[in-house]
Amino acid sequence: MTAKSRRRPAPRADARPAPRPPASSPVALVIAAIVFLTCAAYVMPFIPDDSFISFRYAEHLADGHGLTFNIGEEPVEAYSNLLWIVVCAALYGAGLDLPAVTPYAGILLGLAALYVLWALCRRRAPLWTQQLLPLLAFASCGPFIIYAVSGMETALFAFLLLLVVKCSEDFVDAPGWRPLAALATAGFLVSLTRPEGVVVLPAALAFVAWESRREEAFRRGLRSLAIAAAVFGVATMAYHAWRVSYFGEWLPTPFLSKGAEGSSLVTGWYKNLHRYFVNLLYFAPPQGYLFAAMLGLGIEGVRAARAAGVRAPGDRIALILGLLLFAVYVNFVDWMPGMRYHAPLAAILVVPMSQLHRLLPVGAWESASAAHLRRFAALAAALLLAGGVNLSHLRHATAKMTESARLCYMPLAEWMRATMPPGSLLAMGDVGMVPYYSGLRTLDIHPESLTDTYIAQRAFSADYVMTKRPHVIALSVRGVYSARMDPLHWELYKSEAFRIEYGFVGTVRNQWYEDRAYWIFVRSDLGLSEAQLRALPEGIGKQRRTRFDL
Amino acid sequence: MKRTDVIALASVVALFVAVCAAIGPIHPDRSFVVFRYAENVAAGHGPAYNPGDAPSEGYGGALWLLLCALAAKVGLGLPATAWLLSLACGVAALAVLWTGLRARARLTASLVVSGLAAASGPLAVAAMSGEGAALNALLAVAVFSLLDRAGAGRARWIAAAVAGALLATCGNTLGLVFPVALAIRVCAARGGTTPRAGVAPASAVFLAGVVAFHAWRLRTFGSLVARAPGLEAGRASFADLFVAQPYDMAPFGLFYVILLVVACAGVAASRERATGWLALGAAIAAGMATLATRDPLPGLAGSAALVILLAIPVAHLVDVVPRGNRARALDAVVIASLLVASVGWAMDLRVFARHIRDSHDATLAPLGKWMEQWRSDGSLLCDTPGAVPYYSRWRTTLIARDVPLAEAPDVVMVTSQGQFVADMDDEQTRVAHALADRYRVLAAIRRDWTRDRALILYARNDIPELTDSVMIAFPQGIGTVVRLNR
Repeated sequence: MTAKSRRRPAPRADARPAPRPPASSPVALVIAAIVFLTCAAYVMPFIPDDSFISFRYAEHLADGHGLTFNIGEEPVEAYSNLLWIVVCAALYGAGLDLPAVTPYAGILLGLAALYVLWALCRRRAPLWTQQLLPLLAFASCGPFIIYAVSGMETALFAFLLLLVVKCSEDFVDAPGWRPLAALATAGFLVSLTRPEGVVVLPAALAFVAWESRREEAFRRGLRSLAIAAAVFGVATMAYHAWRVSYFGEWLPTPFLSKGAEGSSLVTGWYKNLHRYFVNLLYFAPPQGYLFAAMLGLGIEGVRAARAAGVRAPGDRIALILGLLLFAVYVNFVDWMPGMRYHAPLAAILVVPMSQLHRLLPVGAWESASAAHLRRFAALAAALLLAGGVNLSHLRHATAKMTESARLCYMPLAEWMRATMPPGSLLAMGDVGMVPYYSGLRTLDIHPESLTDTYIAQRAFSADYVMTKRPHVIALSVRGVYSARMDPLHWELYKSEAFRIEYGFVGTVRNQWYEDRAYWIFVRSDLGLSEAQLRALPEGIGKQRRTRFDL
Repeated sequence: MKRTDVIALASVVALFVAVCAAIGPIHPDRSFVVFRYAENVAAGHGPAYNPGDAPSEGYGGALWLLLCALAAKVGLGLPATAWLLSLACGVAALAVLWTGLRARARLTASLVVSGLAAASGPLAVAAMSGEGAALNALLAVAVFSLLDRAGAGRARWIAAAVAGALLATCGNTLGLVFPVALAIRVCAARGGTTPRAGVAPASAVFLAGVVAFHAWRLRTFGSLVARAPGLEAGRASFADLFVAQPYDMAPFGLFYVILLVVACAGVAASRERATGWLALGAAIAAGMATLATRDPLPGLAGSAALVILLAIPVAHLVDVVPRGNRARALDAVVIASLLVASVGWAMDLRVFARHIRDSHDATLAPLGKWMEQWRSDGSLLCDTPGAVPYYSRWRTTLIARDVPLAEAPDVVMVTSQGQFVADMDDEQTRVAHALADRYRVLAAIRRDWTRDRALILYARNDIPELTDSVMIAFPQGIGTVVRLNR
């Protein structure tokens, strides 16, 4: 056998396109939706600190203050999810409480994603039993579920990514303006939802052009694709022109302050690989195995469809988009349990996985014997339980963050709201929940500041913070009794001006691990009463220090 | 054995060793109780927690104790040797499993099952724990493998009975495994006939072994009911399986449910149904033993035998997949997915294994060694029976409801949730109150981040103040803060 003959055959030019879906029963969709809702209920509530940054922006936008973090200040692009902020602003404008309603909005978007996925699956798998397994894999996928209920943009991004995949496939199957317009719209919305989404539509259009190159109507199709690309380019340029003129900066502050850890990309990749496969957090399991398994199964799904001579371009575009986005994410630190940036990839990797049923003969699926049904039920149950194992481990990890919110962030915010004069300035490194619930103007003093352009561009300096004269400063410290903190914060803590101007109020612990706590300092001229000082919350556990201990 | 089999088995063992290396030695506190007993046995004191005390059965499994005692007798350092022994038992369990599988299943199916067992977290955790769980798994799979292949000759029947009797010494409920497996083997006999020549001698050997063991127990301990200080604390609960394991570990019950579901499907689908029933029956018997006690190992790794036995019917599930030109791809997909999922879960367990190791390395072992350096012949009353008493070599009494408080040991050590705030369980509080006027706080050292779990040490008032050179060597424990009362 020659090397040439051993090579896997390319799909034939006359390969069958995936058949249009018959009006199949939605049994698989209903079962998967029930599983998804059950899993979502299991992990709720989980709203991490970062979600509250979006909520704050959305409320300011809805109240007419523009895209500002602090009311009355210059706009700053500290978010990376514009479309989600607009959605949240609309919900807030309708009188809804964002921390209460956004988890349910995420669940609805997750169900919408499930519907699009089902629509894609039934093209590939006519039987509901064949559709059910990939849908269950998605509906019980831990990372996606915890971020669908987190008040973040994950479910919206996943939904739009699936729409891009579906519209791409629609256009390849039946070129026309309607699927192209839908594709371009979905692609543009993806780019507004996440900055890295800007690569999605160009990649999809390039793939569609490549896929259609042998079609008779290729030239006509190519022209329409070029027009779509040009429209997208113009719209994107217009958006960025508005963005630069509005914020006065080329790049959002997260891009200025964050990035790969270490001095080089290779160091960052190495650290990320450690997070993927060894240790994500002290208490959170690594998720690299889940995504590696999904990627492997997705590749095998593409191979299975190819071997069966079925043309399903959505599989390959989903795989390409997954790899493209992964190539972006590997450069950034994704430390949260379940890996929030990677979570939407689960949605698109399931698309090629839906071809795996082709590995079994058709007769094995069509058989209605009791033995066959038993085997299928066992397989579905095993798949579901496998998702459940991961989900239960992620819930165990997210419960710790929820405990932090309940015992530290919210009581601390409440104390600040009750204690600080209106219009006070808070200086803190975690600018989500405490600024949101306290309602204070906030200076983000994290060394990788999100909302302060000065620190993001020029790095933290004690002098800069002191010129702002915050009324209250919360330093993030590893230790209740020993002050292990960021060297830059240590510089502030040890400075003479700080010692003269600020008084220590106490510690509020936010994690068991490493005794992570906020050390609270208040400007001495505020003259807080003893009752106000004593009202400082304890935080997690019973280890705390107050000024009365000193 | 064919060359392909050798390569396949070597791959499985390599995978297992890699997963074990990733998890690393764990050092659960419970394992040091056995080491203390073993060193006392080796020194001629018999199975007693303190030299000179009446024998007590606080060591869990007699066979594991015996192996550890032999190691101590020939001068091998115990924690390290026990760890190597448990690793060797894990490897041997995989080899026995492989041999048993290959008698009835294809290479691919055997590879799937062995790979699943090798990459599974519980077996790897058991092998890295220095406890007897991996030995239990080895004996359980040996019972299955020998009975499954037993035929007209007597040798395999009797060997299975010996393995079953040895398993019975590892824990009372584990004694069920052989009788259950034998009953299933007889009832689900192949071709409707059972070689009667093997059943009777096997039953006799097993009964003789079990009776001899319990006769020795009765003579040594004076009772057949185990009085086990520190080890047999509580029964596993629904919450341990599905909500959270003790000491803030994620639950692993769903993993066992998956195995059970797949095993049942495998039995139903199998053409070798007798083998499937045998594995399932042995697994259920072993599972009953597991649920009899609370398991502080991550992933309920004391149940490692369950993982192996429940994985066996999967081989038959793989065998019923229709063979076609895509069978090879299907095999690859199934194997790769199972392995990746299993390794992923093993790495989940690594997170919690690390917490246990940190506690041992930073707190328990250094504290025990510090106590030994401070006083070579001290006495201790405590609720932590493992590493601290082992390394300190102090005469130790464990806090229990009926503990006599009239004898005042040098040091009382109780677990508290908080180094600076004494938040204790009822029993610890009772002891602390009872001794309050005779003791002073010596120090408090944290052993776990979560809930600030700490050990508070009280010294008897008549013990002189510790010198600076002694106190400066007091270990820091987990974190950066240690509370010293000077």
